[in-house]
Formats: sequence, C-alpha cells, structure tokens
Amino acid sequence: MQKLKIFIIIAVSFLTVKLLTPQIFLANTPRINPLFVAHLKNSPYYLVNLPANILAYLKNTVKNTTANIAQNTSRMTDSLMVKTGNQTSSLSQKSKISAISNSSSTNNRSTTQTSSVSQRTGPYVKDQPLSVFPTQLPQPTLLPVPSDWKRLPAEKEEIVSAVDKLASVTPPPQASFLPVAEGVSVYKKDSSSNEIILKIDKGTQYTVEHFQLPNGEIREIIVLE
Amino acid sequence: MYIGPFYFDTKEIFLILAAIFLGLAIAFNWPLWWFDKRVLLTLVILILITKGLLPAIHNEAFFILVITTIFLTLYLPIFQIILFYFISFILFRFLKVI
Repeated sequence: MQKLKIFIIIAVSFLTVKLLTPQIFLANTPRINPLFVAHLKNSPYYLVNLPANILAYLKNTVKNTTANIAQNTSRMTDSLMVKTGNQTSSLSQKSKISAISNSSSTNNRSTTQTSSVSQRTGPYVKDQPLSVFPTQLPQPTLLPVPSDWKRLPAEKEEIVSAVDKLASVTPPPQASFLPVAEGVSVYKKDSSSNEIILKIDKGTQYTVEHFQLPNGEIREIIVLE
Repeated sequence: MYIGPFYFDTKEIFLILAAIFLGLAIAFNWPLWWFDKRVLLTLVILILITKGLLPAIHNEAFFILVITTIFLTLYLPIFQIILFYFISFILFRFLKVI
C-alpha cells in the first residue's frame, strides 16, 4: 500500500509539473505568468455567469436541432416530389415545403439572434487577458543558429566590447519587458521598427558569439547557459 | 560517524562526497555525460537539506523520489525538477507516506 502511494504521488507530481507549470509560470522561471493572473481575476465573473451561459448554450442546441430536423424534412419532401412527378401531389408538397421553409427560416433567425445575444453577454472573452501586455510587445522565439552561419573565433576583447555595447542601451522608463527565458526579457521599441531591446538580468550567465552569415554580414548571438 | 557534535549517516557522507565531486567537476571542467553538473549539484544540496529534516525510517520513499528526480534531470529543466521534488514532498506529507 505504501509503495503504491509513493508511485501515485510521483505520477501526480510529474503530471502536475508537465501540464500545469507552463500555464502558471513563465518560461520555466519562478515568475508568475501574467496571463494566469488575468485568468484568475476574470474567474469570479466567469463563475457568476456560468449557469446563464449553460442555459443559453442548451437553448441554442435545442433550437439548432429543431431547425436541422425541419431542413432535413424539407429536403426529403423535395426528393419525393421529383420522384413522383404528379402535379397535384407536387402542389400539395410545395405548400408543405413553403410552410416548412418558413418555419425553418424563422427558426434560423431566432437561432442567430440567440447566438448573437449569447456572444454579447458571454462571460469570458478570450483575448481580454492579452491587454495585460502593451500591443508593441513581440512574441519572440529562441531559435537555433542556422547551419550555414560560420562561427567566428571569439576573442576576449571582442566579447567584452560586445557586452559593453549591449549594456549601453537605455530603455524608456515606462517600458515593460516580456520575459522569454531565465533572466532574459525583451522590449520592442515601437510597432513600426524591428529593433528589439534585450534585457539580461544581473547574474544571468551567457556568452556572446559571433557568426558570419553566407552574405558576409557578421552577427552577434547571445548564447544562454 | 561523528564530525564534531553532528552524527552523519553513511548515505549523508556519500551525498557530501558526491557534492564535493560535482564541485570539483565544475571547477576543473570534467565532462559528465548527459547530466548537467550545476543541476546535479543544486539537487544534491536540496537532497542534503531535506534529508536532514527526515528521520531514517522514511529512507525508502526518499530513495525512490531522489532516483526519479535525478533521472528526470535528463528531460526536464531545473525549475520543473525542483517543483517536482517539492510537490512530491508535500504530497508525501499529506498522504502520510512520511
């Protein structure tokens, strides 16, 4: 029993770490994900509106089903009319069809109205938490160095000068940085330019390497340890 | 074995030895296949601290947890490893394994 408990605990912890951690913490650092905080703030509103939402959803489902049944019946009567080819029967069928189509169209209209209402009164707007970040923030990705880039031999002086250059940029005081890795965050100056300011926290271990691109251009790459 | 007023278990001495070896490996850049030396050293320090808080009767649960954690260092980043270690410990306590 004790051993079973141990294995269950280890499995639960592993699943917790794998499934929940990326949503709560940012980029495998102890920083809390701002999106998670936004979700938490929205959760009371979501919970309060949950019963109304479920009712609206159920209503929509029932109306949609009725509309679908009506449409299917009209299709069936259509095919019947083609098969029989009888004038009188087709007339009577036509009147039926028009009645059904009228009812189905009213059904459709009511359905669309309900859905639009439910959208308007929906408790949770998915994009809402994104307003935590200013719009100018990029969504950067840490990419591997392309294979055709030639690594240049790094000399100590070069590295020091590169680090000095990196450290000399002063971001605006109201700039909010988006953490991308442990001790590293980015800020995009404005939406029009591609210039990105990289902030590396004190104590973060990294090296600056120089690569020569196929077109001869030399680039500095920050390698996090 | 007594070192001053403190009594050290054989396992604790081995852990301390492991920590010293890892420290030397980091200092002299000895290669250690697949494992990250800094991660291992951090883990050994955490294990030493938590082992100090546990009575010896819970060695089995502790052994399984430590072995699993060391194995997971091959696949998970250090933050997730530490979380895994602490969550497991808390659950061990809540479910009265330790």
